[in-house]
Amino acid sequence: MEQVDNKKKILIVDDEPNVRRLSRTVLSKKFIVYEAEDGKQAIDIASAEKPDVILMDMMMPKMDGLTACYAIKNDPATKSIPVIMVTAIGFELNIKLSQQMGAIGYVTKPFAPKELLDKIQQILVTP
Amino acid sequence: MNTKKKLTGSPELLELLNQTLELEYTLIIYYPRIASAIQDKETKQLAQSLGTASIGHADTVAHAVTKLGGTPHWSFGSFPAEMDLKKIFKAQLEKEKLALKLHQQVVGMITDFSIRDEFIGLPKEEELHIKTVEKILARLS
Repeated sequence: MEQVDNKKKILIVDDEPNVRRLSRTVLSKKFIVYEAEDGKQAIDIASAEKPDVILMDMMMPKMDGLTACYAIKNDPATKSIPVIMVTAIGFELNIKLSQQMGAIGYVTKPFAPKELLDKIQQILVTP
Repeated sequence: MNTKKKLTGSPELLELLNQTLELEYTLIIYYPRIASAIQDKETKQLAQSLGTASIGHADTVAHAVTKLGGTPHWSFGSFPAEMDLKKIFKAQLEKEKLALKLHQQVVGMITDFSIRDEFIGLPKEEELHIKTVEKILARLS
């Protein structure tokens, strides 16, 4: 029997369905995966499900990832959830912006499945 | 023979773009913080939407700096210690007006059409931002 209860929860936030699907494929063997397609949904799911890690795209319609990250890190109920920003551009400056908003790390799109897994594992083992 | 010419921007243009970039970064960093202090849901969303729009602008400016052979600078204005929303939004209004002026100047100085096309719509968007900040200020009065 699958021990679902022991699995850590990951929230993938991206407006591109293909990116969410790819991330789910990579992560669903090891983690319980939730999906959100904009920052607003991410805040709602983070509040309800308390994921162990959030993978947050930076550029999204409705509400961007930086605003959502700040809101999550500013809410006492969700502030301890680590947020990894996903940036397509790879500008050093976007990484600095992410840090300003409280993100713990970043990955650059397109990312290799191993890179994504390693990043999440690294954050999950950090006390 | 390689006829593809590498784009270079004048020092004045690159300086102006980096000045614009600093302003956009300041707006990006300010708006979520201000929004977190607003109770009214609709006003909060308006403030958040201004931050989201500024990310797109900063992205366009940073790309232009790189394409023109410059280095995008990382800097932003410091956040006010006092959380007086009315005062903060009055300051934001001035920043948005300055952003409009800077984007207009940039459009006038860029001679490369591929980059200029990306900037053409920005002054109009800044005009909308100004109206949005004015709307927020009216709500706070």
